[in-house]
Amino acid sequence: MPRSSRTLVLPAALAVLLTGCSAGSDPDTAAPAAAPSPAASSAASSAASSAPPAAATTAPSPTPTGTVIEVTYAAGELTGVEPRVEVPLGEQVVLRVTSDVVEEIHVHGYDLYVDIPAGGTGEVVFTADIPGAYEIELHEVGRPIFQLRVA
Amino acid sequence: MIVLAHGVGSRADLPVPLTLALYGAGLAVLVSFLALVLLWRTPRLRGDAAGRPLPGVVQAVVDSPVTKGVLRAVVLLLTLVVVAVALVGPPSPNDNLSPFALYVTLWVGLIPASLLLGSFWAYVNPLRALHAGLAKLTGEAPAERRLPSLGYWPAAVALLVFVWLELVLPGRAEPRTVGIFLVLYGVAQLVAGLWFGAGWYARGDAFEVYSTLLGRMSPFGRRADGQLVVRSPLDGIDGLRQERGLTAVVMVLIGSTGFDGLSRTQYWQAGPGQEAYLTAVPGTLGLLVMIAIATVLYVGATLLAGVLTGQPPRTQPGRYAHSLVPIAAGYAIAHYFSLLLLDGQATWILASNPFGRDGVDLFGTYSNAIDYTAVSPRAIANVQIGAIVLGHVLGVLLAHDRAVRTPHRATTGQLPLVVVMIAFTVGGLSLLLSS
Repeated sequence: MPRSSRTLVLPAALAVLLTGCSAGSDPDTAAPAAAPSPAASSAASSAASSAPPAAATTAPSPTPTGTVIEVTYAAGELTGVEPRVEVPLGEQVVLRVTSDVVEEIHVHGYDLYVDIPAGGTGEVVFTADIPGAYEIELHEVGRPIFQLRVA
Repeated sequence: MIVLAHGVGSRADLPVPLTLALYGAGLAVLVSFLALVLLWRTPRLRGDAAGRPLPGVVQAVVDSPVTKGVLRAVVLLLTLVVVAVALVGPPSPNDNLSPFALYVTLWVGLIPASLLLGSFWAYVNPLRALHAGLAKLTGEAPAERRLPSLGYWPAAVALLVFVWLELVLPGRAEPRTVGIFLVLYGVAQLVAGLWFGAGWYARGDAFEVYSTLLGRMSPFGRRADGQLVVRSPLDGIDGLRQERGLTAVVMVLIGSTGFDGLSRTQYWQAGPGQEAYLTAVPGTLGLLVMIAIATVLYVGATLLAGVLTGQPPRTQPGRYAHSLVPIAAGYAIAHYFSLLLLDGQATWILASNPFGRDGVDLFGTYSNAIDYTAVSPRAIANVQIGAIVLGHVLGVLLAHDRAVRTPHRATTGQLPLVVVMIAFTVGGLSLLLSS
């Protein structure tokens, strides 16, 4: 897969046939643009699986454990999280945020909102089935917590 | 605060490793330049003299005051609805269409519309419609004769204000912020328009100038004799007149997409931009720094070109400014097209119930959610590379055609600009893709 992509892209770049390059370099990308979402996500998932080999083994159904992310927000400081978290497509994501003030977790793209009581913990559980990069933020203060990358 | 989940494409979505994509893109620009030097030895572009006239019926319909009047009235009405929704509609950005209508449907939708149809915003500009009504009351514009001396500088300032709002101001997604901005912007533009005359909007309205610049790449345009013609986009851009401030306009456009890229990198979010959700200070500095970097590189290269070819260096930045238009278009497409296709859906969903009243669902779409799978991340990454490389290749071509009009050391003179173009290509792509 990577080899065939490469041979398609380089000559195209040299010939400066860029529209051909964008549309034709990967057969997976041609379909999703107009296709309804089930076809699009399956095509995207096969495209994604070629990049990190580990993702190819992930079953489409969510694994019971999944990725657990625990974050603490205290005195205006975030701890316990990297700025980027990558998960494979179809992974179950468990996000727990503990906060010393009333807050709300907002997962962009998936459009999920969960309240956190002051001094308590909010938990979001969802299946990462939309590929892409999405901000997760503390909604009240408008502060980004991290960016979730689903590939 | 960030409503917009844009920029889904990233390094992980590329069909090739990032370094290979960067080499390929830089090489494509270099190879095109070499091919131009060998094969394109004399100027071929004819600017506004070129083009085949459209059929008489088409010209008559487009130039008819009825068509223009109806379209302007429709766009004015839609604008007033958006302003009203922004000011008194649902207070949360998630339920209010105005941020999406301004930042996505108008600002980003303007790009494909102008590339296809030409300078369409000048045709429907709601400010021009309001101006026509007000000018009847106020009479002659007092400073009309001074307008030409300003060139495009008013547009450069207006664009800088808008991109600052769009990319920097922490409260930019709040509907009330959008509403207040639209009202203040409209009032300021109308006052300036009444002062300088109707010609102001083509030199001072950010949206009209942006649309007109990009519209130069459209296959449709107006020839020097006033006929509507179909023509090569290259002739269209070549016909852009050198005027004061044109370089500044393009630098604001290019620098702001550069800042958009920077602000999505891990470097920015974990470093200088850590507090950007709270205060406008880091974003303002970052935006100005990116515009300054683009300007120093471009102006430096063109000044050097003047020295190498024995031409007056001071006139050189303006002489090649038109070649930056396709580059600005390429960056704009690369940065924002996914935003239009994905987040842009929100405008139409929320338009079904613009004021957030219970039980209102005008188009039956209010319960829809944005379909983020409409475009795959890999398709986005491919379009990003394609748009940026194609923009720079066209830029090199346009600059080359102008350079060979003064054959003395024309090839040597282009070298600094070609180096800068390659740097822009590689730098712009790494900012976009390495986030």
